Amino acid sequence: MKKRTILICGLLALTLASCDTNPYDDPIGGGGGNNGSITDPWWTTEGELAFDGDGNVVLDEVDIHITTVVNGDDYAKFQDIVSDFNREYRGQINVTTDTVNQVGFEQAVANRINQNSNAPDLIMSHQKGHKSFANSKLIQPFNEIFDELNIDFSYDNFASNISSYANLDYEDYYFDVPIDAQSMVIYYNKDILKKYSEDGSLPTNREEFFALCREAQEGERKTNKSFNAVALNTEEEFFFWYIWGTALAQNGATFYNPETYKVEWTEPNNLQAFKNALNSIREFFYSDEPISIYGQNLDSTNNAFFNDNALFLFSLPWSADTIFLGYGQNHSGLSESQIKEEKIGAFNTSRMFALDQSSPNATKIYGDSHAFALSKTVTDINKKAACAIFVNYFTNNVDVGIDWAEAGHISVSNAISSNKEYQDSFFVDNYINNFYPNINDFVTAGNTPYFDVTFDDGVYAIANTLLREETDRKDASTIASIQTDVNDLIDML
Amino acid sequence: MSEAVINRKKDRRKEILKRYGLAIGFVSPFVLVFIIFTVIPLIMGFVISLCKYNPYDLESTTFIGFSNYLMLFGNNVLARTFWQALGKTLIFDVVAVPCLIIIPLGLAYLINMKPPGYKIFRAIIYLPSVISITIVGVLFGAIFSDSELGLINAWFSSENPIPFLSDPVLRWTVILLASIWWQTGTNFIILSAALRNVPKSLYEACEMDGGSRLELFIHVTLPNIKGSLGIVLFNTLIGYLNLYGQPTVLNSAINRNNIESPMMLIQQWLNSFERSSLTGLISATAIFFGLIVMLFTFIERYLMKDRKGGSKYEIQYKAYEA
Repeated sequence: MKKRTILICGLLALTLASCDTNPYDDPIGGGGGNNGSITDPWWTTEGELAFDGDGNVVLDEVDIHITTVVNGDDYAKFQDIVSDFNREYRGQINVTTDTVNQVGFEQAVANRINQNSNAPDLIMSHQKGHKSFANSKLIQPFNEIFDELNIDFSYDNFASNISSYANLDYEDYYFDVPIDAQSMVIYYNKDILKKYSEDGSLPTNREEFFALCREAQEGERKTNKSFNAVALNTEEEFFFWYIWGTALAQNGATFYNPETYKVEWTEPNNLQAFKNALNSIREFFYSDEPISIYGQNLDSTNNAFFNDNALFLFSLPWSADTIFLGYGQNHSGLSESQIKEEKIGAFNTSRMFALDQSSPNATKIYGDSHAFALSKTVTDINKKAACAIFVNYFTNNVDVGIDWAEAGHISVSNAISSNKEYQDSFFVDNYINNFYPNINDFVTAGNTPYFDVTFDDGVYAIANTLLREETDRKDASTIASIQTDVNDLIDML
Repeated sequence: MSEAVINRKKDRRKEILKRYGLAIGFVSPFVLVFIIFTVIPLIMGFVISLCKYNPYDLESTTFIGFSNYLMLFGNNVLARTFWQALGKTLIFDVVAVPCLIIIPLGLAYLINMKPPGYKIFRAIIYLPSVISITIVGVLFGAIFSDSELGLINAWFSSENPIPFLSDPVLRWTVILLASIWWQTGTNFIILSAALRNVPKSLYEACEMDGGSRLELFIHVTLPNIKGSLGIVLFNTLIGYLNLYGQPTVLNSAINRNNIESPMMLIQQWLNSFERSSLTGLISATAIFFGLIVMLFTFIERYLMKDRKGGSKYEIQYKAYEA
C-alpha cells in the first residue's frame, strides 16, 4: 500500500511539475490578432440566383430572421420598418425579428450561430462587438452577394469615422454595414430656460453650462427646494457608456492601443486625460455648488424633469417619446405637439466635459453605432440576396432613415443624411441635428476584440469606482490597478 | 455449458428482478437524470479543465494537464479575483452561517413553548422561504434602493440618500439581512421538528436534578438535536459557500460586474463570449472551488462526529453504573 501511495504521489508530482504555469501566452482563437487578409474563408455559398429581364433578382418567399440588440422604445419602430419592408417585398422576402438584451448578446448569439440552432441570418447590433464575431469565424462578409446583386457598396458612402471600423480590420471585406449612431443627449425645459437665458439660447460650452445651471438652481430653489439644475441617472450602464466615454473623449483620452489592443492609461498624458475626465464629472456632484446628485436612478431623474424640478435631463435619444409622454402626464392640458414645440427641447453633450475648450477633442461625442452583420450559417445564395436587399433598404431608403431617426438614431448613410426630405423632417430638424451637431465628431470604441474586457471591466469600472470619490486622491492608483488586471487578462485571451 | 446451468442463471436473474425490480424502477428515473445532468457534465468539466479549450474553435483544443489548476496559484488576474472573492465569501459566511443557525434555533425554541398564536407565527416565519430569490431581490432592492425613491431613503432623507447598494459594506449588510429573512424559515422548520422530538422525560430528569433553564438547553436540548443541527449546518455552509443569488439580484445595474463570490466569478467568466478561450481555465476554477466546498463540509462533518470514546456524559454514566 505504501509503495503504491508513493508511486501515485510521485506520478502526480511529476505531472504537476511538467505543467506549464501559463499556457495562455499563445492565443488559440476567439481573441484578437486575426487581422489582414483571409486565406482560408470559413463561409460557403450554395445555389444560384435567378434574374428577370431587367436584371433584377427574382426571389420566391425567402424567409430571413434578424436578431437585434435594439430592445428599448426603438424596437417598436424597428418592427414598423420591418413590416413596411415585408409589405413592399410580399411574396419575395419575409423578415422576422427577435431581440436579445445587450447584456449577454454576444454570448447568446454566438452560441446560436456556433450550434446552428435558432441562428439569426442577420445580426443588428453594436459594431463594437463584431470584431470578436469575425475573429471567431461566426460572421461572413457581404462582398460576394453585393457583387452578385450589382449593389454598388462602398464605405465612402457612410460617415467616415463610423465606417472606418466597418471592415473589422480585414482588408477588402465588407463585414459590417453601418446603420446609425447614438449617445446620451440633453433634454431641457424651455420655460425654465427662458427665465435664466435672455433670448432662450442654450449654453455652447462647459463654462456657460455651469453658469446657467447655478443661476437657475439659485433662482428656482427660492420657491422649490427640490430643484437641481441637472437630472442625471448614474445608475445605469448608459451613464458609463456615453457620459463617461464622452468625458474621456473630450479630454483627449485614448481607450487602448490599436496596434496591441493593450491599455495604456497610466502613460502620463493619458493618465492626466483620465483624471480630467473624472474631475469634469465630479464637478456636477461634489463641487461647492453641485448642480446634480450622484446616485439617482431613471425613475428619480425622469420624475424630477417631468415635475419641473430640473432644467436639464441627460437621457437617451430613443427615450424622447417616453419623455414627452411623461411630461404630458404631469402637465395636463398639453398636447404632444405643444410639448415638442413649446416645452421640451434637446441639445448635445459637445464641449460639456472638456476642461480644455481649445482642444480639438472638445467637441467629440462618444457613443455606439449599430451595424448589420451576416451570419456564417447563411449558405443559400437566395437567402444571402434577401439579407443584402434588406440591408440596402435599411441604409439607403430615406423614409426608413426618417422613421429610424424618430426612434432617436441618426443615420450614418450619406444617401439618407444628405437628402433634403430627411433634413427637413420635424424630428431630424428639431432633435436629431441638435443631438449630433457634427457626425464627424462622433467617436466609437473602434475595433478591439477585447471590448468587454477593455471597456466593461476596465474603462467603466474606473468610473464606477472613482466617481463615488469626491476627490482625486485614489485616481492614479485605482487606474493603475485596473490597467494591470485588464492587460493581464488580454495577455491570457 | 449445460442446460441446467443456463436455466439456473435464468432463474437467478428472474429472482433478482422479482426482488429488486420495483426498487430499480423507482430509483432509475433519478439515477438516469443524475447521470445525464450531474455525472457526465462533471466528467466532461474535469476533462475540459485539463485542456486549453475554446468551444468556438474546437480544432485547436490541446491537452495541458494540470496547468489550468496551477494558474489558480499564480500571479494572474483570475487567481487574484478568485482568492479575493473566496475571501469575501468566507468573511460573509463567518457572520451569516451562525446567524442562520442561531436565529432559527431561537425562534424554534420559542415557538416550541407554544405561546398563544404560535401556529400563525410559525407560518409567518416560514413564509419568506417559499419566495424565489428574484422576488427577494426586488423587495430588498426597493427597500434599500440608493436613490431617494428607495423606501428607507424616502423615509429618512431624500437630500442625501444612503448608498445601501453601492457602498460595499452596506451592500453586504443588505445581503446578510436578505439572506436571514429569506432562509430562516427553512432551518426553523427542521429545528422545530427536532425540538419536538426531544423526550420530555429528559427535561423532567434534568429539572429534578436542579437544572436551570440554560442548563436544560445546554445539556438536554442541544445534545438531542445535534443530528438536525448537523444537517442544518451542513446545508447552510454549502449553500453559503456557493453564494450567488443574493449578491447577483442585489447588485445594482452599475455594480453588475462586481465579483463578490467565486460562483459569481465562474458564472460571469463562463458567460463572457470574449473569454471563451479560457473555458478550460474556468472549468478548472469550478472544480477546484468544488473541492474547497467539499473540504469545508468534511471539516464540518468531522467536528460534528461523535467521538469513539463517546460523549463525556456517556463516560460519566458508564463510570457511575460500574
